[in-house]
Amino acid sequence: MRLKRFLLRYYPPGIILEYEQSEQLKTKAIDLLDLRPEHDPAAVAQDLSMKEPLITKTRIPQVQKLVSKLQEKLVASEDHQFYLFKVLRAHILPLTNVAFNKSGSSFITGSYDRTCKVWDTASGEELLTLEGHRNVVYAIAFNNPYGDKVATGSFDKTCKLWNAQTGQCYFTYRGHIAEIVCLAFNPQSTVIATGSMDATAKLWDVQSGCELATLAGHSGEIISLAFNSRGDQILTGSFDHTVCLWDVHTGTQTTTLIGHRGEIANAQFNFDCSLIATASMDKSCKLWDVRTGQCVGTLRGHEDEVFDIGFNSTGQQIVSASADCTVRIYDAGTQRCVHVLEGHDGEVSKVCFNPRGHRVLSGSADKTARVWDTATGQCLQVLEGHTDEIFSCVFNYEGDTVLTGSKDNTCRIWR
Amino acid sequence: MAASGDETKLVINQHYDESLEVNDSEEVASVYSPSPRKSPAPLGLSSDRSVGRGEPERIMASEPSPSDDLSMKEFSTHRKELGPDDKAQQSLGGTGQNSFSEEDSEEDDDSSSTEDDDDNAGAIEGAYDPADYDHLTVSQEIKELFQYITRYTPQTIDLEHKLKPFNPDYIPAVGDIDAFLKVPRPDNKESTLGLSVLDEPCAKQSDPTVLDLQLRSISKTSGVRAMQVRSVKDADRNPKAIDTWVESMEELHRSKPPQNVHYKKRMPDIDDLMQEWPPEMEGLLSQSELPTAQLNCSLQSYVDIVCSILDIPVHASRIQSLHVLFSLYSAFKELHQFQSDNVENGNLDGQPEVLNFE
Amino acid sequence: MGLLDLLRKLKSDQNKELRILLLGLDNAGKTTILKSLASEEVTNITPTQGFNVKSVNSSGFKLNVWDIGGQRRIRPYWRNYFENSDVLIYVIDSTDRKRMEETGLELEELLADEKLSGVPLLVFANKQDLLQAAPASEIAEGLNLQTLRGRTWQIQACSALKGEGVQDGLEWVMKTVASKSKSKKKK
Repeated sequence: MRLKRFLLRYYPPGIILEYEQSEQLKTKAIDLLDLRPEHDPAAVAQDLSMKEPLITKTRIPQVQKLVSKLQEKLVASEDHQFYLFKVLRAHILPLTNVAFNKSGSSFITGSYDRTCKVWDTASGEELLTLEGHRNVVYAIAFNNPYGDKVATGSFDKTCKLWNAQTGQCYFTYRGHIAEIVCLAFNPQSTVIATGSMDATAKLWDVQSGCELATLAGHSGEIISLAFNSRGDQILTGSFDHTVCLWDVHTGTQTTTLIGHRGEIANAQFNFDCSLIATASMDKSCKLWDVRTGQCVGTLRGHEDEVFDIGFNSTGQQIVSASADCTVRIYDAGTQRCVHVLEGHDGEVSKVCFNPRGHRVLSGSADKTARVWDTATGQCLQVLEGHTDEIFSCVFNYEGDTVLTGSKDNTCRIWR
Repeated sequence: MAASGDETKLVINQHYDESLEVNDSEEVASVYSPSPRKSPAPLGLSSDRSVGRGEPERIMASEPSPSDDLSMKEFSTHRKELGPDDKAQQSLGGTGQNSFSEEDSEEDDDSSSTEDDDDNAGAIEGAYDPADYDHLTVSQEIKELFQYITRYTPQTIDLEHKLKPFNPDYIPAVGDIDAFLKVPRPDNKESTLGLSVLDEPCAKQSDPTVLDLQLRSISKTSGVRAMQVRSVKDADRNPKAIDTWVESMEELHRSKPPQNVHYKKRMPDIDDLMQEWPPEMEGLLSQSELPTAQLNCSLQSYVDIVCSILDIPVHASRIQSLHVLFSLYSAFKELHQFQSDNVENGNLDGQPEVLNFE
Repeated sequence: MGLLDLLRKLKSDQNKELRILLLGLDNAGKTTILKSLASEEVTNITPTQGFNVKSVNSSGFKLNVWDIGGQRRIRPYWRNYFENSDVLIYVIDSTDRKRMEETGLELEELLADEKLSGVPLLVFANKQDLLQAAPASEIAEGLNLQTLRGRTWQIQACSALKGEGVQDGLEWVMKTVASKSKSKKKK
């Protein structure tokens, strides 16, 4: 067993060891989800060396440097003020979703005008128009982190896989009998999962274009879908008020999470795959233990339907957005509401953390997006300019660029 | 890169963000290397994968579970095939590894490499060594036969097997008592199966949910732990499971002990209360009636009056006193003899409903 | 509203909710009718670049009315919204005699679509408050409504700006849907 490379992952902080064993290159990840800027890197390195035989005594100084590098990435740099960088008259009909590739060099937009477009972030230039769907392009995704492919899910009941550089359509995945409204790549980028209004989700092979499995079991429309970070489990949330967990390799249902009294709006895993957070129209959010499928907590406080929920990259905080015009931040450990973010004048339909986890971005029907400080709960910035409600908003991986997609047919880049 | 290896390289569009080459690394004994076989912890069961609490720095995957290993290999393969520079020319066939076939091949490799390690560890004790038999004085023909011993390579037969975790702590179940019908060991050694080690569970296991309910019904500290809810898959095609469930629920309700009530303060024994009144009281009752519900007072005071007549103490809450009152009533009702007695002397007519013992 | 709500309105409860499609050329007054239905302010209405959705409650039903922009370049996308429609409302600017033929062709194309076959049609002859407005009967003739087969239809003169006739049209919609669901049950 011989160590070949240290690989550093910023968010969530972790060191991946690449080593050779029996002539084979293998990797193992050491997640440092609890790493704080104030920790002593020397002590952390010492501790890692104790637990990990690959990190021998002679490696400790290097590991120490890597740890401090990770810590640097966690420290909030001087306050980044976003300004409107570009307004893109992206589509001739309202936008649906927007997404960055991992490096943030390009992004994609989906629209009611049946196209998906690929854009260059730095110049705001349109690189490609992915045409071919016969109805609204609703769900879109890059195969992050690689970012060389784009998948689009449409109301025309099909999903298409495209080359992100050339715009060539590799495959059209047919089989759903109603609108596709959510999709995701597995972390290995070998499988695409699609969720549809026909109450099923399907797994498709990226390489061969074949259908791998149909996940049938919901009695209502599937509205959200997420892989865990290992890629061996998938989560589907449905209008039938339940959330199902499925084994990706066998395509079988392993657990049903029953407890919500309203339609599910979103369901997400935390990074270490131990917890699931769900948001529902029943005005509550719930936390579930992945292993037992039991509800381990209900996050109350919202006074109206909850539309979106997400973990930060380490899984220590949860953010939720609601029709009651507020956003709430909860501590995943204590399940307490840490901050209520008030300021929007309309329903908040989208919310997310930046990868570093010190900012929250929310998009609302009040035509604004807002940037919030997760430490204080203060609104740092109101991103104004859209002339109709905001349907989608995202951070890039570095957290220095924001993208908003609106019903006003435009997309705005904020830097 | 410098051999000292302090300069990291930035990497884009990978699962990681920087890389640092290690050129002068020493060989580490692979004894500790976790292979899928040596870390049989089922997915997600490893306790160190919980949310961020506990000690500040924790190695989340110091012993990666099989899937961890897999996913990592997956993307390392991906990286090799998909250098950041040449991905534009990358054809589809090269990038998307089929995760399923990938997995198989990797595991095969793992197991074979482990076997190699075993071979290198040295000859097995008592193994056949031709040198030991060189001195034997046997005919050439027999000696030629000896060659076949070394020439023989045992066939590896892959047995089809399914591994299922049996975790007695995790699945609460009670089966039949072990009948100790054990298959004797082929080597005739004594078997302690079922005595010192746990035997396989018997076929007919209790339903964990039913067991949970049964335990709940007999334990006093109920309602603390969350209920286990079980679901039946494809219920329409599985009526037997539903029947079994209904049956076991009926059984459970039948065997439930009757409800009992704990009074906060001591209450007199029902038997004591059922004693006859002293003759003076009886005499008084024959002349005057007991107060009826028409009495012009509140229900509360009426309850107090009735309880005091019947010697039932009233504490802070009337509920418990009323419970004693009604218990007394039902005790009388069950007393058949008393009923027939009162048919003769109907002097308690006109008593309020609640006191109508006869 | 958000994307999620749009999905919910896409698959409305068949028994209690109706999906109504509001189409017509640009400047016909679709958005004004929508706002008038929802009892909202009808001033300062700008051309619809995409679509508007409003929910109106009427005699126990929830009407999800989809108002789709009518500009020529987005007319090809009307098809996006056809699925699951219960009623088609087609709005005509009664004063725009120049484009009467164009609006007739668009309607013809709509009615030929498979997804809208059998869907009841209500034509609003809008802007009747203006002097030069053509009467409803003339428009019905111009559109050859009499020749329609296999579809219940109605033409309703109205002025969305003044709020006249819009409610009458809505009543016809409710009546038609009620009788339609009854006849469905009989089958």
